[in-house]
Amino acid sequence: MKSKGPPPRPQYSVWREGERIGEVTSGSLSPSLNEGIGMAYVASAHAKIGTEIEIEVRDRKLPAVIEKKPLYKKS
Amino acid sequence: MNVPEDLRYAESHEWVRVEGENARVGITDHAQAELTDVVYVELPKVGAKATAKGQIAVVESVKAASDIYAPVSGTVVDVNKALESNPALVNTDPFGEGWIFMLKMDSPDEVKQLKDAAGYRTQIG
Repeated sequence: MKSKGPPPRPQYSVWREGERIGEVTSGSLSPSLNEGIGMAYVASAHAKIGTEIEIEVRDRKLPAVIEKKPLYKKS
Repeated sequence: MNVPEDLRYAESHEWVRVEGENARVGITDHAQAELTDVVYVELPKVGAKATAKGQIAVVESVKAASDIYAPVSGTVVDVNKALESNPALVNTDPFGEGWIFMLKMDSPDEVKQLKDAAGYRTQIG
């Protein structure tokens, strides 16, 4: 997730440019990153790293981005 | 489990502290213990109308997102902005710094229908 706020949860819809492209399969707040992270199934055409997406949380669409694993890199 | 004597309790685990014509609302120590670490609180909007037993806020823990219900009817007059940056206050001080919102009650008599500390203690065993 690109902002602090509610973490993604299973079954939340994934949107891109007004089109529903998939669904979150798991998600929570990462204690290490202190932001919401998750995994989702999206149509493969939208699955490129860096793609800007939105996660629908209780009728609000919150910005997120598709990132390469691992999300947390030990420094 | 801490259940302060001077508060009233809803079956859905919210507490109410009457402050004049207002009611301060949060979730109980028992509720926060069951939810575990709170990571986000969706506060109601100031000015929103609350109906007794109607959904008014959301508390998200690492485990789940849970609806919070208004224990009495009224209008939201204040919300705990501190929870936006530190939602864990709900865990560390559920009856104090972890309050969630304040209602101006439509009918203060509604509070009498809520449980007292002894009644709530019986409910949670």
